[in-house]
Amino acid sequence: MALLDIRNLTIEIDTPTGKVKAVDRVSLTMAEGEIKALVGESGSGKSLIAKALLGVTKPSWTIKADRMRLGDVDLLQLTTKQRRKVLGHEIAMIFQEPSSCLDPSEEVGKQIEEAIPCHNIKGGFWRRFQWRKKQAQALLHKVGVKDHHKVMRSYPYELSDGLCQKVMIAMAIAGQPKLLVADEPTTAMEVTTASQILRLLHKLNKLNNTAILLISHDLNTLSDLADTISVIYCGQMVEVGRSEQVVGNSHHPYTNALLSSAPKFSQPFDRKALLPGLPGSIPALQHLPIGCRLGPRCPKAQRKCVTQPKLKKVKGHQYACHYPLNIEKKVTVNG
Amino acid sequence: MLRYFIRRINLLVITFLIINLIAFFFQKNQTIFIETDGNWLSQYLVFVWNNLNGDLGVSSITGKPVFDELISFLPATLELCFSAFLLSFIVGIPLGTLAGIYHQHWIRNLILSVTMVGYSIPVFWLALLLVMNSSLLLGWFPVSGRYDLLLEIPQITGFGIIDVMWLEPQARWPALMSIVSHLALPTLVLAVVPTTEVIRQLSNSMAKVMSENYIKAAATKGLSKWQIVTRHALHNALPPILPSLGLQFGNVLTMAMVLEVVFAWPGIGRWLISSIYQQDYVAIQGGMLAVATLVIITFVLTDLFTALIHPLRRREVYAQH
Repeated sequence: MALLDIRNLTIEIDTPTGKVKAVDRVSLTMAEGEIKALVGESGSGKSLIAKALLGVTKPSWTIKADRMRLGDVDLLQLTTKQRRKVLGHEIAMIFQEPSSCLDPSEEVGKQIEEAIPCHNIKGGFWRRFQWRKKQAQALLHKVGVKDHHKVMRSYPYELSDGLCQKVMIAMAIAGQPKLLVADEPTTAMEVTTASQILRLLHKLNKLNNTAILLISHDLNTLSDLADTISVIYCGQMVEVGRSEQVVGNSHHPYTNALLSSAPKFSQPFDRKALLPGLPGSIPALQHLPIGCRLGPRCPKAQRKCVTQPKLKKVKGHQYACHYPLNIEKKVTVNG
Repeated sequence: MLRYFIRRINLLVITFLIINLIAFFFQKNQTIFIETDGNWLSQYLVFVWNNLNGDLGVSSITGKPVFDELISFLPATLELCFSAFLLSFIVGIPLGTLAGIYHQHWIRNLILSVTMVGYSIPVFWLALLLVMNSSLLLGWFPVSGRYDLLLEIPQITGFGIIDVMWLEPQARWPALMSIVSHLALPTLVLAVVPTTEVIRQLSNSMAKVMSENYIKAAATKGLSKWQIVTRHALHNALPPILPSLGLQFGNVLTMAMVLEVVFAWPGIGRWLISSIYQQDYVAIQGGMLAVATLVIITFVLTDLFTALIHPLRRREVYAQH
């Protein structure tokens, strides 16, 4: 049974100009212990999906879904109190800009201790204080922080971004969640720090069998790490598949454009050559095109693209395109 | 931290010297100044030195040293101000927090409108209304004074609530009740303006903090709204407004002087106003110096206290150098 099962999730946002469908019928399934990457441009609704998953929503959002289950918990029907119990135990989240996500006027050690659930405490209440401290130290060791004394006594502004993200991860895994949602965990970090964080996530996945939903815009770095990749554009899922399928044999023009936009240093460039990319920019949510939302920017768009393509599935590789790339003729049925 | 401390103390010293300078020229224009030898500077230094030693001159009306009179009148005023500030924090912090959390909600609008009304009511008028209704009409509180005239409370510290401890055990309780019931009305009236200030500033600061990332992150950790507010929001929203609330002390002290006349409160305000009527320039000058010094000291102390309890303030300090 899948750990996470989302079917046809739609998020509508009330804006002064009317309702806007920011996420349009997105389906997502994750097995236990899987690393899934959710890739898309900024503004494509990937963070919205994560927020809807954790229930940190705003009153102006309407969330509809046919199904949204985490294990045997129905996320759609939770009361606030039940949801608080699920958060931390079953599902945890880490954010981008980690230094702004830690309370600036409290010591880091205290904040980690706060995240440790007290139900699995051992010994009497008089040992609770010491126990929590030990647990917090152990958590810091787990995420690869050696100098725990110094880190626990520092305030967030005294730590680097990478260290803050490690602290955030330590807090997220304190309740041993089954699913860890990482919302662009490495944005605005140096390459070495970013790769450290990604390696750490990979290690957690292997050691604790924690499923990780990795939200990012960098397709190439994620392809080694993630088991499966979902590509999202303007709130619509465009391609889903195992990472070698999506990266090595992409069917959707958007995925293809994403891959080719990253410079490949194996071939020589012309001097001042432009990077290949799609013309235009991501449309504003108020002015979404009908049908396939990539339509106006797509190099292969034809008349048929004004009707929205359904997700087609070939050998576990799903794509939503009328004119897919890299595919043998006989598979593209005459429709 | 030490550097910050020194800078604040520096500010205190310089402001004190400037106030003394103003008082010095004020005194030079009056002809009561006892001429000493030397130029202005040495006269000024002697003046400051005398003030620092508590030698503020002798009142021309009562013939007592001004410093002794200050010592006997100031605690009554401070008692009033402290209790008003205490009340304004007790009332203002929960209301300000509520108004800050419920952003764009009728609760916020209600609290802020009531605050605006409270801010714009003249203090002496509110005092008179309350005396008329709750004291004369309903008889809930005494009309004026600090305690029942039958009681004889020793002046040890000058703060009535503390001085009660020196009474005989059986007299302590009724004396304390008398003091508290006399204190109630003036405190209530005096607390109105600082309460509105606390609510206004805290609600703004709270609304800012509640939109920060770490509040959202705390929500995803499974904390309830109450836990988020008490553990993370309040201790980030409250310290930044403390220095500006410390500045309110001067405002409150001025209002306390007006109220002392209304409530016949034997404090420094009533004493100063009667000195003005009697043209007792030495007393006016001494009182002014004392009040101004008190306001600066309070401001510097709140500032230092904020830096002590709030690490972000310390970071700003380090960032300056």
